Amino acid sequence: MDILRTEKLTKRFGGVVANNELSVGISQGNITALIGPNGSGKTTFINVVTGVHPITSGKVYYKDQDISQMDINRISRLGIARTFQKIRLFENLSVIENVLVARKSFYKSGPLSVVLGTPKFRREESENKEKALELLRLVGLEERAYDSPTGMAYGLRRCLEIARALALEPQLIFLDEPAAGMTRDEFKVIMDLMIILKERGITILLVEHTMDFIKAVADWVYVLNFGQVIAEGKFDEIEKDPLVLKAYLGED
Amino acid sequence: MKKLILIVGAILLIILFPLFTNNMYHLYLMNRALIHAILATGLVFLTGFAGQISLGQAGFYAIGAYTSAYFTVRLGLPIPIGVIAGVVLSVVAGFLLSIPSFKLKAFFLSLVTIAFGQIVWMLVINLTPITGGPYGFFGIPFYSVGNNMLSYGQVFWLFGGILLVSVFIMYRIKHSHFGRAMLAMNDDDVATETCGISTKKLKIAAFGFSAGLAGLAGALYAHLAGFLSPEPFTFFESSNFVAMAVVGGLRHMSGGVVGGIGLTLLPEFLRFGGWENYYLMVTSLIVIVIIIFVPMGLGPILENLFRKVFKLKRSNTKTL
Repeated sequence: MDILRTEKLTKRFGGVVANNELSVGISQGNITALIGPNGSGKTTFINVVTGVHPITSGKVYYKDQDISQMDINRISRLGIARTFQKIRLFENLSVIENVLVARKSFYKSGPLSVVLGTPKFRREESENKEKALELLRLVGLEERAYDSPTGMAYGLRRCLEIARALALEPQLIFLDEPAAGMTRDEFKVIMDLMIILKERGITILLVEHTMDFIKAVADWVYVLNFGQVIAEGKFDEIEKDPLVLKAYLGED
Repeated sequence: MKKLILIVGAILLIILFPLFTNNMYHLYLMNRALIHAILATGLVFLTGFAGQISLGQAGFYAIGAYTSAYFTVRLGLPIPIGVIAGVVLSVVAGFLLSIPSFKLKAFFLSLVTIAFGQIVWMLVINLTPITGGPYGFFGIPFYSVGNNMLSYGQVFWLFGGILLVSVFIMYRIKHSHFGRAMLAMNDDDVATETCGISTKKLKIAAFGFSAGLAGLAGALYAHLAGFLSPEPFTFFESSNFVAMAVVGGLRHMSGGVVGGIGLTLLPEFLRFGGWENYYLMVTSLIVIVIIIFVPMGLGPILENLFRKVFKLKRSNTKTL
């Protein structure tokens, strides 16, 4: 079953058609990879589906619900989380607070209970802190919980961003080049993390350039070029597709 | 522990101050300082925490002041009702002013808020039947219990209590899921939205809260002064309020209090310290020097001093 599908999704920036009538489906529980040369519309696809950019035309369905015109925050609360190609953390908050921000929609206390410091609010606060620590443990950042994320190693910052996305308790997560710029060891950490997430039943859409990575984890691959799908299938099939080779290597 | 010392210290200061002076002018000035502290605290919340700019706070200050004056003088209602009405109307105006902030940032948002302040100011001048216009609004009742007028010292206790409650509310909000969301929004709107948070709602709330405190300050001022003219509601005052928040420390819980009191008293010290011709110029120079050399504001410096005096360590979970 497809957890998310698009129908003729189109995004134009002025005269540039970044996504041209894309109709794709993401199967529940799978790791789906989106690959293609630079400028082929991969990041735009994520931005459009998560509501960061408004859609020019076409539809996006999440579990058969039309989310094409929804605000970013509503889409996120439905259970669609994401990371950014260029890491976006809250630099003025500590590591654990970064994760706690994404727990806000799980709080039921209103401003009055907060000001009065009611037992209900205190309980919610400690429950969510526990949950945040658990996520930090998962990505190996528990020790750094009260540090500032500013100046932390790139790989750790990426892990924090993933932990923050997971704090939404998403069913679908978009990872925009999670392994870019990583060292060999950091790379391994991210790869193991993806396997764990898959085991937990979280559907993953991955944009990546590292072919080893995709080969190791992806169940299904879409290849984009000039905003259109030029091929789809298992990695072994895609690898040999003449259209894909042409897009990546050019014509002889 | 630290919190306890702070709260007890602040209460003691407020209780003791009026007992050590019977100079009416000093007490009046301190009451003005507390009013400014309430208003600047709202700006710290809006700008320092939620990351939104307002150069139109004098507009809310005016709405609070004239509403409370109108309710008590023209409608004959008691002062608390007038003050509440002033706050409610300011909050509504704050909600409306938050709408442009959904799309606008920085300079563009500043311009809209300046325009808002100017519109209110023009209304104050031209709506003569309600505001008295340039002729002023006279005969606003002073604080009293039963038939007894309060002394300036008792009013100081009242204002001090209101200021403490305002700071306490802001402290609690800051250290909750709401506060974290606002600080996050201050860093990155889009990333905050992807955390499932409506930044529109946060902006509405932040503008409403700061407008409410500005309206409260205005209403308290109306009954302290007993007379309103358009003069304290100009753009100059709006920028003065921003200077208070910045000098005190935009990101600091005590920023509004330190800046509000400091920048109200400083010109008066200078004026009576032999600088009567140049006191405004010197005040501005001091503001510039503070902003250049202590961009975090005086609040954090006082906090460090406080830590040294009481030998306290910085807790790792919460910052003041």
